[in-house]
Amino acid sequence: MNWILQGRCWKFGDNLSLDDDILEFAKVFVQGVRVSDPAQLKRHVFTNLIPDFPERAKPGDIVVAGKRFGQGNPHIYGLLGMRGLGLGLVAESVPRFTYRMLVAAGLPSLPFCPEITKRVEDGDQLRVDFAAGRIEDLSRGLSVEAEPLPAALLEIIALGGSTQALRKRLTEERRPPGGEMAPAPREPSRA
Amino acid sequence: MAGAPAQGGEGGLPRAAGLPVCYASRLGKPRTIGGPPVAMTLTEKILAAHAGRSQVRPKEMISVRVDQSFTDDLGGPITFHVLESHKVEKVFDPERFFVSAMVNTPSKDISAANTVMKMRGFCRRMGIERFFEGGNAGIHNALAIEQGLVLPGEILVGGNSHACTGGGVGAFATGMGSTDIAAILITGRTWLRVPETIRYVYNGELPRWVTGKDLILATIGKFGVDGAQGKAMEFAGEAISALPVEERFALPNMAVEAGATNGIIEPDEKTLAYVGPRARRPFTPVYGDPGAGYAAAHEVDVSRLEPMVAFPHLPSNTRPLSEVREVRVDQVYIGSCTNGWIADMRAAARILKGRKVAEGVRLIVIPSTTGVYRQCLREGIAETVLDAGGIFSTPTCGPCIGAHMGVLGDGMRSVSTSNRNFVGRQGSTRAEVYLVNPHIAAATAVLGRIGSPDEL
Repeated sequence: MNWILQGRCWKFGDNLSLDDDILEFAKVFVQGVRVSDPAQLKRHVFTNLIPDFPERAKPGDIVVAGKRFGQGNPHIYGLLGMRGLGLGLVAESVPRFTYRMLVAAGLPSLPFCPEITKRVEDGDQLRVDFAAGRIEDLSRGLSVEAEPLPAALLEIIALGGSTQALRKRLTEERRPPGGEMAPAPREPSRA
Repeated sequence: MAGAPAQGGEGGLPRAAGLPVCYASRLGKPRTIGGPPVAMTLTEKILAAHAGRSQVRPKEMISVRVDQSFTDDLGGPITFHVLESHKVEKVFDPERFFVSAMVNTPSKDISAANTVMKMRGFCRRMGIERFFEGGNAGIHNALAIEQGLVLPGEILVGGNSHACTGGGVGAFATGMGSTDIAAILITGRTWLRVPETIRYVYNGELPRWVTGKDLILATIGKFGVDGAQGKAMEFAGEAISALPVEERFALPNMAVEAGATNGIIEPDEKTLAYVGPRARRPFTPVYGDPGAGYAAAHEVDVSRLEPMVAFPHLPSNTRPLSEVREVRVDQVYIGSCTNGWIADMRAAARILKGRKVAEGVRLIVIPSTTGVYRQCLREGIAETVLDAGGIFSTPTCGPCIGAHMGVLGDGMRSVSTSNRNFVGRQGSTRAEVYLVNPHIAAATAVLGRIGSPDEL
């Protein structure tokens, strides 16, 4: 997986909510059923804030957000939509449910980058290395370090998220034993 | 999940007679897992034992064995879809999973009915026998405790934000999303980032009408909705010890509203007496080590605390009751996994006894489980609510999330003993929700405005 994304900075403030700002929850439903396909969800990402965002955003663009990005009821759909657009995320902080969901959605992220909204501006050209935890602002010629996600989580994101990671694990478990992906030994009943 | 973390695995853990160490003895001497003893908090010790490690450090990634998991009729269909699409034919351990269809039931529409039917079929095929709906309905976060399915020293991961309620018995309890729950259902394990622990010590004697709910509202009000972001909140002190066990549960229940991974209370004699007869399996209580490292410690003097009111639209937007001016209400809801215990029902009934709900106010009282419901009937609480002009319903979490049984319309104002007052939480995005304890909720129903039982 290429962990380096380069593109436009889309800067937002604090407290972006999952169900309103990032992707309006009502738009997740098609004929009463929740859609979880990133290719469909991407059409609604950030449209309550920037109506033509999905048309203007290009793969490789970086969403830079303030504190508590992805607050509110833990619905993953907006994050899946962001992956559908090929975006990366750099935030000052995220709630812990959102932290898990970034991984589950397979979205390249640096979720804890304090003060980043004070360093870069909307429209800047950014180059972000999500594995190394480095944000370069090419427009301003500055570089910021942030703690990258742990290797085990990067691995899940590289596979495309938790559903894909689970599929890989199950495929390998169904093969003869071997390797670190082997199933954990089943424990005896303790009833 | 895929890929063992760098320091993960089961290395160095001797297993006594094939049992994981934390189950080796019910009488439970302190566990010695090899190597020099390292002082750990209660949360860290539980996580270390379940990772098969002698020590874990805050912020590191670990893979842990999960003792119990559950889902409901919102996340359940997504979880089961993951299993079906991966052609999984057998779950890790059907005894370690339960399903509670309690949000949209008794089925509020055709789609809810179809969902429940599908989930029942899935559980039958997988051999999952614990299915709560209809005559044994209950809110999972409360059921796990009531049914003895979360025990001191265990790990509970539920498919619900407020699964953290289980921390009230001294377990590591947290909520996760539907795909995470699917992975647990298949593998019996999950990944976690070890949280740092913040300790909150509540000293002094609780004044009249002040409950565990007010302690947590005051704490969230002071430190904010991200005050314990990704941390473990450990609740301690003489005010906690003095509370009956069920009145403590509001604290870990709302830990997630401060952004915490989990909330936890060390088990004491009261906890063990409560849990003992309910326990479905042997367990060993775990206690924090003296000298363990905390990210922070806060002391709160509760003796001057007042009942708290969280104003719209965040649980942190709290004010002491005495600072609340005239707030007229349309609906009062007493129930939810926060305050749907028998202690809460009794508190409300004591205030409603011999009184009438104010004109134009809809009072809805809903016990959290069938066990609590039955007890309310025995004690005459149901009748007290009806005599006062209220509604007394079988268990559901309907109104708490605006699903059914009391959805709010445009401009309506609700006083609720539940845990969230986000925009649109209980119905219309133009409605308002105020969070309070059951004493204040009952008094408010009678007064028609937010107020204290002292005003009656």
